[in-house]
Amino acid sequence: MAETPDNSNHTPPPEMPGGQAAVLPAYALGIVDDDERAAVDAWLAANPSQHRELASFQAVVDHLLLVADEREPAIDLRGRVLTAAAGVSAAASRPPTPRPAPLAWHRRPAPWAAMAAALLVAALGLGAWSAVLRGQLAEQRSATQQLQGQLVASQAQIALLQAQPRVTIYTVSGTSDAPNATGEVVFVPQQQAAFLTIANLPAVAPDRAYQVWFIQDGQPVSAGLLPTAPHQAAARLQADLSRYQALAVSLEPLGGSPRPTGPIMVQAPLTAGNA
Amino acid sequence: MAAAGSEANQDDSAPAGSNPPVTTQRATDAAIDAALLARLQQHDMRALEEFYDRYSRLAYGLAYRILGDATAAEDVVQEAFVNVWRQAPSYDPRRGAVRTWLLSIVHHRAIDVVRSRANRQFDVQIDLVEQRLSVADTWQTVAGNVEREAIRRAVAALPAEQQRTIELAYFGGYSQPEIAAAMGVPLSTVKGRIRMAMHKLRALLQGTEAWASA
Repeated sequence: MAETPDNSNHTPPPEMPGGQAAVLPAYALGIVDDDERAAVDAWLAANPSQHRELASFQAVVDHLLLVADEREPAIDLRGRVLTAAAGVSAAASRPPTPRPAPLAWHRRPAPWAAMAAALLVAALGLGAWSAVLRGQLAEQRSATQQLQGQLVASQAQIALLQAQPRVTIYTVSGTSDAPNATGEVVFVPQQQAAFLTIANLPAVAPDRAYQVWFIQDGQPVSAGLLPTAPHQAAARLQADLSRYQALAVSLEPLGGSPRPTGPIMVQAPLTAGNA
Repeated sequence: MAAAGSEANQDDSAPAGSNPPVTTQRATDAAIDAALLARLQQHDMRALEEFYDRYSRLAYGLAYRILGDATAAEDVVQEAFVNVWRQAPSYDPRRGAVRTWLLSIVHHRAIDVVRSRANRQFDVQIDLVEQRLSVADTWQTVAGNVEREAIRRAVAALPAEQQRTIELAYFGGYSQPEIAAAMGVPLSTVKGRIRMAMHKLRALLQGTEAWASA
């Protein structure tokens, strides 16, 4: 491919085998080694006209980001993201902690004590400690997921007990595919949240998952996958239910679907007549 | 979500401008994203909710594609959204679309996780794009996503060795020497395949509606 003439008066750095231009695709992919990257950086600095060529390969890489299939994450991920973001905002708004005044010279720890402390920290093996914590975190995460259904159901009860004057409760009814399923959707407008609890849903096969949908203007909008536990399914939905006309749960392939493909198991009109 | 049906019959070989509904939809998508970014930069939490609802499946799909583990993928996605939230005020929109920014963070972080894993296996299942083209029909109907269809067709047009090289490099997190070892070819061959694959992808994508939206 013909290269745009370079208008720089600088002496170009030594060419790499095949030329730095030949490395641009790999550079855009981010798979060059440090030496190659440094050489390309220097070459681009000396040949600014090549930035356009690089940008064209970076555009290809941007498109590769779209190759993967969409997948539905766990329904609670949304809440986790929002909670973490709220924490970032809260931390950013806190005033900085004042730094303590330095110790007077006669009260400073002896240099040997500071060195011993540093050695002790290193000896603790921070890397091993981190690995142990990660293992514990994984175990706790599994246990947490099992308790999630019970927690959500409890939260729904708490919301009721708090006697929010605008709490609305919708009845969830099973369809012919889940005739014994019953449940409730408790909408708490002040929290912009809804608590969905369903009992007696059929057990889900390992390659299937229940997926929650809101119906908006006749179109299904995914609200995520529905965690299930024996005899009960529950989820906290961060949503303004006043925007939707109905809620439904369908049986989908593991990982969810962008549109409903399986049978509707339960449904709940989000209307005054069902409240 | 893009309106279903309006892009169901799009042909990537059609000249740009002959499909007004697609162009209009893409302009709408770009406007929505620009408005979302502006609100994210003001730390509007509702904007983050909408941003998550709009791109969580895409982000999670990319993370899962790279990591193959739901929990790890969720962690990466959470990090990415929080990073966008944290850095939005200082993000220059001229650097690129907010969707690309988010997915780039997901990709980089997921690759970091892959590279930090011990006992990485070189026997990577080739995710041949041809097998996914039938699913892409559903995508077009449901999401009207001409961009994804275009890149998938372009990747499917590559020779198998170049496809696998790109897969290992971009979704596997392997270095060029590692790819050479995995494929049993010289390093120079790997570099050549990457170069040819990227040149061909660029040629196939340029002039398509997908390229115009980049």
